[in-house]
Amino acid sequence: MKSSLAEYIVPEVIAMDKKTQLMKIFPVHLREIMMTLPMNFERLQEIHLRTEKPLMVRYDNAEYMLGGSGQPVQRRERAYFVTDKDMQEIMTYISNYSMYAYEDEIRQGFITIQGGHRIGVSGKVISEHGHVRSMKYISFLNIRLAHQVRGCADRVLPQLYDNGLFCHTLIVSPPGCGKTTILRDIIRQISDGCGGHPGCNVGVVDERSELAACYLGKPQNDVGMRTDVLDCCPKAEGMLMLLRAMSPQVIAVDEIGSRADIEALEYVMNCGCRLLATVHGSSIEDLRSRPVLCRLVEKKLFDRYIVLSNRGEMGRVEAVLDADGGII
Amino acid sequence: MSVGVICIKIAGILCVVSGCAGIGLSVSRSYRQRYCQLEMLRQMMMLLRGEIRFARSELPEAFAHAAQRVDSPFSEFLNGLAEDMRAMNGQAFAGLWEQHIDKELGTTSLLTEDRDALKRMGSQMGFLDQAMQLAAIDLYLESLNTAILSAGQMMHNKQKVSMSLGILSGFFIAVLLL
Repeated sequence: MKSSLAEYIVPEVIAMDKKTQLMKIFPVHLREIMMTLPMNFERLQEIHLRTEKPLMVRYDNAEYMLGGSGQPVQRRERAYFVTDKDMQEIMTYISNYSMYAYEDEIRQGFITIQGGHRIGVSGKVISEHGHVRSMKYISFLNIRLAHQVRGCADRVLPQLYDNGLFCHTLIVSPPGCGKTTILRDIIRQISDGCGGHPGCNVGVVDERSELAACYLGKPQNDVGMRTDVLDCCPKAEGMLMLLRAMSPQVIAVDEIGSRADIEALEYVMNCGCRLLATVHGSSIEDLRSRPVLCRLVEKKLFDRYIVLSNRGEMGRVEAVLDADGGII
Repeated sequence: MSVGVICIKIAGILCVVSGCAGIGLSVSRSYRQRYCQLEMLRQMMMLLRGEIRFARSELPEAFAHAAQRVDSPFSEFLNGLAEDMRAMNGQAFAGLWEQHIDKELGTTSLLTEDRDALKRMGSQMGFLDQAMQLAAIDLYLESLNTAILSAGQMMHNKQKVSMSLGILSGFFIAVLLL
């Protein structure tokens, strides 16, 4: 039996809806170019905009320049060149006419928009006392499209349970290899219940609004029916808040890395809560070589490691390892 | 002169005097309405300021929230604006802001100069950082406070003058017609 309404909707219709939604951040003429793009939106990974440079997209791990009619072009002269005005308009629409509401995000270098798409911004940084205060002359944008891939965690999920209990799991992956996508699917499945395991309460600290893609407080992505989301909250603080307030059985966070994250993570684990997290890296050896993260491996805090790569296909599961680094 | 003609003349005089008095009353009421609408405008801007300062809401969200706390026609103005902004039809904010001022606030008792000041405010919203945005709103609120103060001071005098002028001009026309 189909359990959610989305499963009844034709995937193309969802993709079309998402595409229309994303198009709203572009000026009208760029919308026309993007709408005529002869590509499957679900396989579109990134849109690169650089002032006075050709408009580029990454599709199926390959890069294409786009012409004024929306067709991929080979020669640079035939490409559409992004203008200053385009950039200004895009920033206006991205921020929903409210730049002040995105000061923190711009300071961090990215904005997450409705649908969970992450937009990296770059320009002239304004510093104060050695810290980034703001950014002006934003001339480079990288729009990374978020795609919810239902079932992408099916292969690894059976290995993440031990005696019916969900194991502390860390997803290790280089950027752009689908760690957030697989994390989202694991959250959804453990929350709803899968493979004979009952569903459990999952608390998600969604610092960058990428996992649940909350809009006006409501998740736009399906993260399961027993999932509570703390949106736009710093990870370390959020984990403790969830622990105190929502009695989660599993806490999920994306992209851990700071000392404060690791301390909060250890605290959560000691409180009997299971942890599901992701980290940038290419292997366990890579984690061992990093000053903060090596503690995770050495103390065997995680019972399972899922290592992802982009070899051959995007989001390829290289291995599922146990706490000692042995292949399961 | 027959009694009938005199009666008609008296009735005519009464109509002219009451008509002119009515015009005077309406003018005097518009001063009161302007004062109330300026107060409402201040309340609207204060609500927006709060939404930006404390909730860091995006403008469409802030407008929608503030719309629930102000009366017509400001609620329609804010709701219409929020709706158009969410549609993201590729229009600049200042244009949308002006368009809705003309559409929803065009028939209010606000003076052209009040509407022009409000329109200018639209060109200073949305692209600034929080501190600058709040400073821009504060500056507008300051000028609005001055406008409210002078509207309040003038209101009583002007109300009396317009009422008196209305009735007197009625009598003057009546005398001329006689």
